Order: sequence, then C-alpha cells, then structure tokens
Amino acid sequence: MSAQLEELLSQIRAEMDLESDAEYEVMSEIRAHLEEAWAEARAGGLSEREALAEVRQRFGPGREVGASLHQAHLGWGTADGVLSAGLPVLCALVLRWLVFAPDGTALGWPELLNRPSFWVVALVMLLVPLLKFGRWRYAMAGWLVFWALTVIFMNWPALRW
Amino acid sequence: MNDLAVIETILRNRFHFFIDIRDGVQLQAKIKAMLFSSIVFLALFGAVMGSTHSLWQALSSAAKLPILFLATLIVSSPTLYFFNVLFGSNQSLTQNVALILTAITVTSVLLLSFAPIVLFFLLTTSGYQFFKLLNVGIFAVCASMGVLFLSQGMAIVSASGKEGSTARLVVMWLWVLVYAFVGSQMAWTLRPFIGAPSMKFELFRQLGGNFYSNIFASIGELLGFFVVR
Repeated sequence: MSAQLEELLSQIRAEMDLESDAEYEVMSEIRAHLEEAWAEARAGGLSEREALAEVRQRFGPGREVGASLHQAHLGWGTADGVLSAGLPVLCALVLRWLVFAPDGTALGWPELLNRPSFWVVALVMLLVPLLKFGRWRYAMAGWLVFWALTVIFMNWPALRW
Repeated sequence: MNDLAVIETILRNRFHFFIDIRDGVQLQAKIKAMLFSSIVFLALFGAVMGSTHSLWQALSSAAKLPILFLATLIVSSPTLYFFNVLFGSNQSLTQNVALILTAITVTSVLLLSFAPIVLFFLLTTSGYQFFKLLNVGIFAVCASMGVLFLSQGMAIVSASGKEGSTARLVVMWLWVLVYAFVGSQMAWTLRPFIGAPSMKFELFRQLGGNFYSNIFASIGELLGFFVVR
C-alpha cells in the first residue's frame, strides 16, 4: 500500500485517544477497509494516484474519520471497568436482599430454584447488560458472575452475611 | 454510553476536559452526565455500606450517600465562586459547579472501584469498628484523588483569568479545607450509613457528638483501649 495511505492512517490514529487494545482493533479494521477500497479502485483500472484519491473521497478527511471513530468507541473502556466493579457488587446485593432468607442464611438449592424472584434476577442479569450495551460478552460476564456468586453463597456457609 | 464517555474523557484526557469547561463547551450536557454517573456509583457504594445492617439501611444509605455529596456541593460552591470572582476569575457559577462535579465524579468512580473490596470485607469480617474505619479510609483516599483533580482543573481554568491566578489557587486549597469540614459534618448529620449492629434501623440519628471524636473512639476501640457504647 502506498505511503499516502499510511499517512491517512496516521492522521486517523492521531485523532484517537482510546485504550491501546481498542485502538489497535479499530485501526486494524479501518486499515482492512482502506486496503480493500484501494485494491478495488486499482482493479477498476485506476492508477495508484487516482485510486488513492478515490479512497480519500470515499472515506473523507483523515482527521474527521479519526474524530468520529474516537467518539464512536469512547466510553467502552470505562464501561468494562464499571461493569467489572459494579456487576458483582450489584449481583451480590440483589441476591442477598431479594433471594436469600431475611436473616441471611442460605436456602437449600430446591427451595432457591423454585423461587420466581431468583429466576427474574437471573434473567435481568443476562438481558440488561445485553440490551443496554448490545454486547454478548457483557451478558455472559453478568450471567457467569451471577451463578458464581450464587454457588459461593450456597456452599460456603462460613461467609458472614 | 455518553455518560461513560464523559467519565473516560475525565480520566484519560483531563486536560481537554478542563479546557472545555474553561471555554464553556457543552457544560449542561457534561454536568448532567457527571451528575447521573455520580449518583448511580455513590448509590451502589452506599448500598454496600448499609448492607452490613439491614435491607432498610442498605436502601437508606443508597439514597443518603449521593445526597451527602450533592448537598455539600450546594452548600460549598457559592463560597468558591465568590472568592474566585474576588480574585479576578471570569468563570461563571456553572463552570465552578462543573469543576467541583468533576472532583465528585472522580471520587465516585474510585469508590465504585473499591466496592468489590468493601463487599469482600463485609462477607469475611464481623468487626463493626474495623468496617467503619475501612470505609473512612477508602473515602479519604478517593476524596483526596478527587481534590487533586479539582486542583489540576482549577489551575487550567484559572490560567485564563485576568490576574491573581496564584491567589485563586490558594483560595481553592482553603476552600478544600472548608469543603472537607462541611462534608464531614454533613456526613455526621445524615448518619447512619453503616448502622451499628446493636441498634435498630434509624433513618437519621439524634444530633450530638461529632465526626472526628467518633472516629477517634473507633480507633481506640479497635486498638483495645476502650469500648464504644
């Protein structure tokens, strides 16, 4: 790929200030799109210079592309951190106050699994992260945390609560 | 996602964020996002604190912790604004509130990051005084970081004033002391947040004593010097 396309990629990257792994993923994706567009233009009989102009026209100025990509991906890193801290805590509190016995003692498995509130909480822990953030990994993380905490609370009576 | 994007900008690109506040760029949207995030994070941390006692205490603390921070902000922000104006600042009250909210947002995010640790100690220890002092320590660390952010923000924002930027920084640090005193007294007025295990749930306790003597007594009991009743 030409040096001009590398320059375009540098302009895009200069406008982004995301977590390094997120930035790497975004740049890899945009690089693939640029290379594809450039190859298409070359296959259509355009010279290197014309192909580059075509790509530039299609994607827009590097600074604008970078700024819009930055805006589109900003916040996901914080979302990861907030969910990793908040989700287990929220899950534990909900389990404690809505599902277990009022005195804090764990119920038996059959009784617990027969409680509609338990399944409502389980469903909420799966669906809310999915619908709110639209990412499967959040839903799976929430689901895993929910079941891990349930198993810990049920099988570790030494826990004081 | 916009609210979390604001937090990420504060944490990752604070200089740009403070420049935006200095120039008055999208202040209302920023304030709204910071308020929303702070309330949610503080409520969650409050719920963890109150969960040592009862469900009612958990709900009460979840409501009272955001109120504590916001009430302290309302009581203290006019002082900062008028002293800044006195020393040549050209910033509005809204810009001052946005700056203080930045500190509260940083504090609340850090408190949220400590929530799993507090939950862990809640599950594995039974000492009320230890748990109380643990929370006081965590609050002290998180609030100090928030104040550090405020000082950085004030330094950037103050640089645009006509004169007296050094005096305004001194005013800011004096104001931080006032803010800490108002905050601790507000916390004492709104107590309990954890709830003593020997006492029934109360939304508010009788006034009397003060925050500092209570913490001193808790340290004394934890070290075995005396028993707090």
